[in-house]
Amino acid sequence: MQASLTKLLILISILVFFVSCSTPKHLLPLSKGKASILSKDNFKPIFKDKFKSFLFKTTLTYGDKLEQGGLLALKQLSEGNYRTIFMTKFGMTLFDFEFGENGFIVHKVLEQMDRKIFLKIIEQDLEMLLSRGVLGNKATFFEKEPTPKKKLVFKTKLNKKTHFFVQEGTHKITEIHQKRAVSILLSKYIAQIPHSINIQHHNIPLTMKLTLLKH
Amino acid sequence: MIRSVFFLAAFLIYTNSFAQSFKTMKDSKAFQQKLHSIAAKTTSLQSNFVQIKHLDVLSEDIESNGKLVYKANNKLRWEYTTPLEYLIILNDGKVSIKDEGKVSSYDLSGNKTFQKINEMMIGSIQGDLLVNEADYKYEFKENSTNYLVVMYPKEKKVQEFMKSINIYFSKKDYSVEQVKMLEQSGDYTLMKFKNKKTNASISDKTFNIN
Repeated sequence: MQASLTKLLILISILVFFVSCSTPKHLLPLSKGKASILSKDNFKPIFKDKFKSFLFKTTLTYGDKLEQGGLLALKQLSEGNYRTIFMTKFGMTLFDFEFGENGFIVHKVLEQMDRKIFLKIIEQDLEMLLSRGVLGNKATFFEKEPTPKKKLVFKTKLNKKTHFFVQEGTHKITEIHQKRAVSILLSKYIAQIPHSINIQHHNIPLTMKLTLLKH
Repeated sequence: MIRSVFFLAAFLIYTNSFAQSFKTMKDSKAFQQKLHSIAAKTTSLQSNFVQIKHLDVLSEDIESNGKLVYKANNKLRWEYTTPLEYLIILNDGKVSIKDEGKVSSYDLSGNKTFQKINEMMIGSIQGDLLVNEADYKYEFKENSTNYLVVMYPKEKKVQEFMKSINIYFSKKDYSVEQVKMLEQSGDYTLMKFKNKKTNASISDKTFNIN
């Protein structure tokens, strides 16, 4: 009996260890989760499936090596396909690429930013923000005590990676986390659209601050 | 007068109806001499501007508005007011930037990029920009109301990003009305200058960042 209890405790410890490794620390502890399917009734993605374009004031920072401000335009070309263009305030294009179901096409990139891995990271960050196709996914949801507001945490797979969505009330996503690697904080909601978006990488010193100017 | 800074970007295979109506300038030397003589007499310049970024892929152009103030010999205040607030000041060898309340200052002597920008901005105001034949090939054109100078970058790296810089001068007072930077893709950035005022008295305080 004692031996089985010990085994169980070890098993729980291992499980907790693995769970807590992937869960952002500030979301811990998570109460017992409930299985769910993400639907319009319980979850509202930040952006609609179909949109024309968004224009953000953007600051891209990489440690103390790079701080580049400018404007970032994100346009939906067709369902599942997007184009993003980052330009300086003076209008000079820094990068311009297409991504989505039709693949990844670089239209233009400034030599200093011409690193495929860098552009792929930007693409992944934007995909994470768009959360394309998340509705209909299986998820586990957890209720967090009011601190100060009641929050729901949805754990689901997006592009084969575990993501956590923190939703305040029924229609306001305030955080998205890709395990402990990338976080997106969303605030200043106006008409159900966040006007301040802060993308923060935790394994590399990359941040992207977006302020919505036009949509 | 300010023909610019924004040079860095542009290009084109694009010629609009306005551009098509231009013919080769009859006397480009006289035009340049006139520009130099006006620049030499210019002690200050103020103007509002509209910056239009045209991207073929976007259905709407991106428009920014702002104002600039120049005071001879090397003070410049360039300020975006909408849709974002951004201020850049060049003042006696220093560049200061204010972005979202955060101020950064740099000494031009330690930064080649800013040095180049400074040279371009001040050089253009003083009329030197049009004689930089090491970096650009020039075409001088005119129609009934405007002079047009088209600058084609010679350096391949610059060519990748810029097809040409088109500077439109008023025939009335030789001031710059528009600067269009054309990209190889057909996209462009257009600066339009409005409400220009020359040689007004301007306090040095205008070029303080705070």
